[in-house]
Amino acid sequence: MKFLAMLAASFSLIYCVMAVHMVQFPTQKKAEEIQALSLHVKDAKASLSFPTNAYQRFVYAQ
Amino acid sequence: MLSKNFVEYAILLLFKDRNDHLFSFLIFSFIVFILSSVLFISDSLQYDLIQSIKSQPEIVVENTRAGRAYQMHEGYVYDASKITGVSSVEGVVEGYYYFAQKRLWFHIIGDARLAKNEMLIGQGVQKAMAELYYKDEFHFLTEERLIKVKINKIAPKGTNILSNDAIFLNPNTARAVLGMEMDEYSKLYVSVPNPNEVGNVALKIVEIYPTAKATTQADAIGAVRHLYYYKGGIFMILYVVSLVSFFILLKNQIGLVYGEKKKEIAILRSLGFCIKDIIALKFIQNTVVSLSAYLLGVALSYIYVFMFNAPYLRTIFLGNELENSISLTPVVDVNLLFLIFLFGVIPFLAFVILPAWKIAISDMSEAVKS
Repeated sequence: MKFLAMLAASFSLIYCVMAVHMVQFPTQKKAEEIQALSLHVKDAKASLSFPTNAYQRFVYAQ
Repeated sequence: MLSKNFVEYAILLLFKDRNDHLFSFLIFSFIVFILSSVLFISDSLQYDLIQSIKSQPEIVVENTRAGRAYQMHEGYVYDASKITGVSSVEGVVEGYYYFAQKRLWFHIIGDARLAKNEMLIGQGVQKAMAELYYKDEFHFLTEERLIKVKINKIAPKGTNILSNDAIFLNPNTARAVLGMEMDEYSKLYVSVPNPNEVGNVALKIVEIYPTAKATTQADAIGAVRHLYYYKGGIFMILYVVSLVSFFILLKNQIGLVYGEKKKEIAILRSLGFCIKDIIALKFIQNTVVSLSAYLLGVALSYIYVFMFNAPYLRTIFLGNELENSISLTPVVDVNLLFLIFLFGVIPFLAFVILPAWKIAISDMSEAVKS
């Protein structure tokens, strides 16, 4: 029983830390920043950057 | 009702056989960790992108020629503004600039707030430029001339999902960089105040210009969901294959272990334990193992994704050409976690209890003799 209690306590602690992190994360601030950007650049696309091997042969500098 | 002593005895046995359970615990934790991490990242990216789409105009019109994006002129703006239900049409400049020295594509976006000789850049662009000593000013190389623009501001880190590879320029400077004429646009933003008319207006635009592509807000949200749809299709097949392989492995391993423990089960039976008690004993042990593995897997994936911003795994979603130090917004889908629990922990218990039951009902006198 002692082991189970300790296991439950440690998981509760980890999940409490996660909950605190989630609450403290500046979600609102980030949403406002994104919204501020989207107000001027209305059709913003996800900023993805995958390799474009096809163009490497034209490159003149490493 | 299970007594306290019975539960304690089950835990004692679990400790005694800890090496047998360690394998299933570690593998199951790892599977839950990977699965939750992928879904956490995709949910977080979807959340941020959909957030930005909400500010988007009702319809975005792009022109194509031979299947490629092609510029539009003032005539398109005029025609679109004459459609019933449209309140305003705005032409915008957008395109890609190839930064050959670093083999990168920068996303050029026209922003009327900026002066002609200044620009706002994303953090990934800033790092790429700084590596080649463009710190205060950048030189755009075009077919005709070299355009010098001052690096004025850096976009905040919170917007990295949208701005990491972006350079915001005055529309006229953007036109010069992209080689466009002064009255040309890359896209049109069409505002339609009545949401019921959006579909009709989009259809009318496509009727007037058959080569144009009219994307509504709903289409844009659908595209984002499709881009990060890791809950179905090929991914669902991969999840199912990995889980089924794990359960088969688990069943074989547990079958082998219980086979060796046949004598122990026989002794328990001779002491007065009935089949129900043996199954309860194994159920308690494996519930502790599977539940701990599940909780640990989910907790580790949360820490990995939202506290450390998913190093390595992040590049699968965002690409690695341009360094992207994005901070992932914690978005936890409880339904999804419950689904992982349902398809992870329940089959785990089933695959473990079946071999235990099989041994418990076999002839015990033979097992004791051996």
